[in-house]
Amino acid sequence: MLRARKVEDVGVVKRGGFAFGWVFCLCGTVMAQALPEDEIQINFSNYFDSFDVAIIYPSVTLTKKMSKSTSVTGRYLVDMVSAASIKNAGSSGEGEASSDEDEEYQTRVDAVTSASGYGEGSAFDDVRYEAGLGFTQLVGLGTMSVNGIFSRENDYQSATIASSLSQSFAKKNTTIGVGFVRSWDTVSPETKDWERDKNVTTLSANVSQILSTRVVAQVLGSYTTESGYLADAYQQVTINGEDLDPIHPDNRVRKAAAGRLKFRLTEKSSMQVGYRYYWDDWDVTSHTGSLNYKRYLSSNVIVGLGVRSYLQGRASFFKPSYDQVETFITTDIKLDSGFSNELQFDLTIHGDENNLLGFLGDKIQYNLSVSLYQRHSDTPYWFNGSKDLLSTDFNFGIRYRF
Amino acid sequence: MKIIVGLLILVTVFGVRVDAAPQIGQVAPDFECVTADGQTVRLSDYRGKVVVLDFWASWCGPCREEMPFLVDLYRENREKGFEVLGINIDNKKKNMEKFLTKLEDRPAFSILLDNEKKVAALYEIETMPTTIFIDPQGIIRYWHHGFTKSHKKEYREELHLLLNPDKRRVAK
Amino acid sequence: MKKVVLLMLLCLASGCATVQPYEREGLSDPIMILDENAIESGRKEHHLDYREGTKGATGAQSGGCGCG
Repeated sequence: MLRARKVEDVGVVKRGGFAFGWVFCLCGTVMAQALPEDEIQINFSNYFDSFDVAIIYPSVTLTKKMSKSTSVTGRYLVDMVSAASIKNAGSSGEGEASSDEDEEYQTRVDAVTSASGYGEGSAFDDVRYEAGLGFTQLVGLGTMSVNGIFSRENDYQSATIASSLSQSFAKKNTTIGVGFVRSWDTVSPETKDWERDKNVTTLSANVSQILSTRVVAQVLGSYTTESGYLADAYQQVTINGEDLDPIHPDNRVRKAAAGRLKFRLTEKSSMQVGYRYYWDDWDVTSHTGSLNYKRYLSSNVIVGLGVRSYLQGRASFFKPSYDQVETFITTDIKLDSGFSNELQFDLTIHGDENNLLGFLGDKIQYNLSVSLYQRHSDTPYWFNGSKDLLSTDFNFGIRYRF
Repeated sequence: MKIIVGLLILVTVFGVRVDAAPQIGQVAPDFECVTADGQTVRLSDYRGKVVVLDFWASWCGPCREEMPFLVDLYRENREKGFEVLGINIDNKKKNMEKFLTKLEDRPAFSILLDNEKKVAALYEIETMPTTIFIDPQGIIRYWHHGFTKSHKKEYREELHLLLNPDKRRVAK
Repeated sequence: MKKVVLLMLLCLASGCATVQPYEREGLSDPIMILDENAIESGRKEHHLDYREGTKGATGAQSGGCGCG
């Protein structure tokens, strides 16, 4: 019997993870052995998928040099999630929520969302707020950064601190960087009366090498340890007609190694190839390959086209169905075997005094990106019985350097 | 572990700059270069003046930030025996011209074309931009790597010292 | 095997080809920077991390323009 579930079941955006992603990109900026340019960047992003989840998330990021060797970055983001299938008690999947218990759950969700200001009739089922502050300091030929991010929503809170160091050698032909990220998350599902912790620590390293005037290469590695509550409390595992909470190990060690190569094809175009191998102690492994092509359409317009393919193996304790309760049980399809493909399109337009978009001069830049994503899991998703997810991601950004 | 440590040392050694580049306190190496106007000039032609060598390129963000400041600095001090030589290393002259055209005030000082990077190699430039202050006797007095807004005050102070020798103190 | 790989990486890092800062016009081009828009890269990785069960080893680095 299908029970109405919370938005997060579809697992599109889980909160602490976004903070992690942003932290990494900040560290990456740092590793360019130069202070980031003074700029303000506003992004308006949208996500829609075939599981009826829609997310709108505007964000603003401001970067400013405080001295010739110090820069500060501040960021604010809001995630607004809407899940029509959840609201309709899973009408897109197997069965329908029809019991009084499900109606009570739905009401409780509404009550919670009402309490947070998003009640019945509201466009959004869940809202997450995130704020971050970071500092970048030049030290000789090296760079050091420290960043802090705090994220909060009704049922999840995350605090993250990240630091990184990079050092250049051989006239900046070689750069070695190391990073450290630590997150303290608190999980407090609305359908439960408990609160659990989740801690994540990541060590990373990368080496970038200029191979010629036309080729740059990079190798990267990461080592992550997770501990605490590592399951999703909104998911349920049905065993012999009984719905049970998933049971995951309390610890996980995750490793990844990747390489990227970027080379100029012609004066106006470039190509980037990348590969990543991932493995962990839950026996999940994956291979990721990507190609990205960029080309100038004119002196002010750059178009990009990318493809990405991903192949994942199954976690050791994942089963399409369980005959009995075992040490570990799960329905999380992210632990299942499967594959995905993605097609990305990017358009960047630099403002120019000769066009209407350059009313702020040549310091303004407009970015548009669209991606089409398809994921296949070998086991049907428990919520709607579908093995395939289709999604589209759209972002419009304005970047002004001052 | 020994191999790793040894290789790290190797990397560090390779990364250490061998100081064959001109140093502060030494005579600035002379060179000949063609200007954007088609004239041929030598650094020694400017002996007796305070000279700033500015190695720059249109593709370099800090260089683009520095150029308007140098334009103003030159305009304010050219009558006092001050000269700026903007040594451009763009592969293509048209890219340099496109950038200069967008400036509010086009530089009144000479722009030298070094698209073969010979002068940049002579001075073993390690950062873009590199700004070198040379006194009237042809001695390198100040050497700046990169440019941010905070450099403006330093440049003004150093220029003032060079233009007023009685107040000059030993360069750092 | 790990030592061999590390040896190769460090030899690579020791600068088998040194490109001078003033020779990096091509590398400073936005189409040649590995993550020219780090915020956009982070946003995309975020989506992927939480639709898929794996993550890590993503970053942003560039040979850069040798600019100071």
